[in-house]
Amino acid sequence: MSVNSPLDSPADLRSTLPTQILIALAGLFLVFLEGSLSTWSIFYASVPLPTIAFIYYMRINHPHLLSLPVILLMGVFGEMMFFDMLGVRATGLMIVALLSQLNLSSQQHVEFTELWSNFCLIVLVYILFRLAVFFVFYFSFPDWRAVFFQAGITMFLFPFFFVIMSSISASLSQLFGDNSR
Amino acid sequence: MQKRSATKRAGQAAKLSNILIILLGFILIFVAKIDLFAVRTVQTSTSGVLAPLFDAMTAPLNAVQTMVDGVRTAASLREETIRLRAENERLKRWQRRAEILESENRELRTVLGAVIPPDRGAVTARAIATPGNSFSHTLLIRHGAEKRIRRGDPVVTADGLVGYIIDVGRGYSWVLLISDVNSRIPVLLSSSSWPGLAIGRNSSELELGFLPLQAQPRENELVLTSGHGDVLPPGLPVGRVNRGDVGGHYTLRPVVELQKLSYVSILVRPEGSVQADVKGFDRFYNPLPEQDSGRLLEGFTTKDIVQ
Repeated sequence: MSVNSPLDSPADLRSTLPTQILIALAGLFLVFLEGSLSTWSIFYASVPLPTIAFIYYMRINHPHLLSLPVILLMGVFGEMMFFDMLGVRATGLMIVALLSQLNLSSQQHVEFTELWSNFCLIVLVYILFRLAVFFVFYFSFPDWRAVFFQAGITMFLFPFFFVIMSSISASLSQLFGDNSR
Repeated sequence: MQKRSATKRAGQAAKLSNILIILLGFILIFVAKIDLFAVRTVQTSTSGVLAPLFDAMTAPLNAVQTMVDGVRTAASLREETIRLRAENERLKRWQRRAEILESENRELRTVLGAVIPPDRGAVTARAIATPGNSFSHTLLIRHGAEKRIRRGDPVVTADGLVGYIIDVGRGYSWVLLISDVNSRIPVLLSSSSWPGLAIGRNSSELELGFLPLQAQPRENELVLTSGHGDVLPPGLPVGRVNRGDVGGHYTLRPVVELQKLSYVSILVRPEGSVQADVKGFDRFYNPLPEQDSGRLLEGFTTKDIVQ
């Protein structure tokens, strides 16, 4: 007897789709958080970029849970919210995601300092990409101090982001069992 | 063997989809640059829907900022009192001076028959958020079309001009700050009345461009909106000329501290008034009368211009 009806096949209880949706929502929340931080005068025009740290962490540890379309959505969402130039942030974040995946297998087993230096490099690439697009469209550069302060504060806060995300990841693994890998 | 080729095909498909999605990102950049009406409409409506969420989210962060400010103020209370007393004294002197100048101004206006621009109403709105990066200097504020806010309305604080409205949702609006690279404000030097443009540079300073060669702005000179183009009312302080400008290149520092905006006022036009259409150039074009002696602001005679 052959199994033809979908009702005959067993339910996919180990699907990662719900987790992917939750992670997408977390990413969108981080975009909100980034914007909210700009209300603090110390971070005006130089808000740290937790979204990059989030993408980097997820693409190293759980690459299939954060897909490129979700990253595109995060970028476009931020651009819509803050009247940023459409597509620039989204493309920048996707480049970050692709760069994070280079030498993925080796990155999963390296020391933290090496992860940190890779992250710094990725942040620089992201900032340079945005600067390049800005220059192409306006033939000028924005305030260098603010741009490099933003890059610097993001790099400096990476250990902080990393510890938070590792803790959340470990807690969720303990709660629900690690079926994400 | 079949399994290996299937894996290879899957890998190639994944690579192709990655390339396609990156291409989509670049296409989005170019679509945005074309500035399609449909894209702008989608952007306005999407952010209009999401703005209340964002508004709610900024509330606790604002509370943290207020708390930090409170602690800082308490720590420096004594210095603050001394500073405020001195400032109060200075303000009293300025108030007396302003009263004298106001009466003098009133008298001069009756003599000159100057036209006072039509009154505008002020709507106070809370500043919600900026993009938080140096690539775009905009501001999301509470209140939109429900309060008669329209595109082009100037946004000010007690210190001066903050920017102008670029898009209006139902309950939220977006302000293009004077520091944004897309901002061009027609201005006048307060002491010499030479016209120019305050140009945003996405930094903490503005560029003072298109000044006539004869103009020699002084350090700390106040720069005001000129009202040219009938989009912004004249006389709003924009910035002060910086020291150390050489080679005819001048910069301004905004009179408003743009990084510390919490509330702003939008100068809305009275109901029923017609908004200036900057594209309707015909309304502003009047042929120049050919006179040898008629001197224009730029330092030319009208005859020079006609020739």
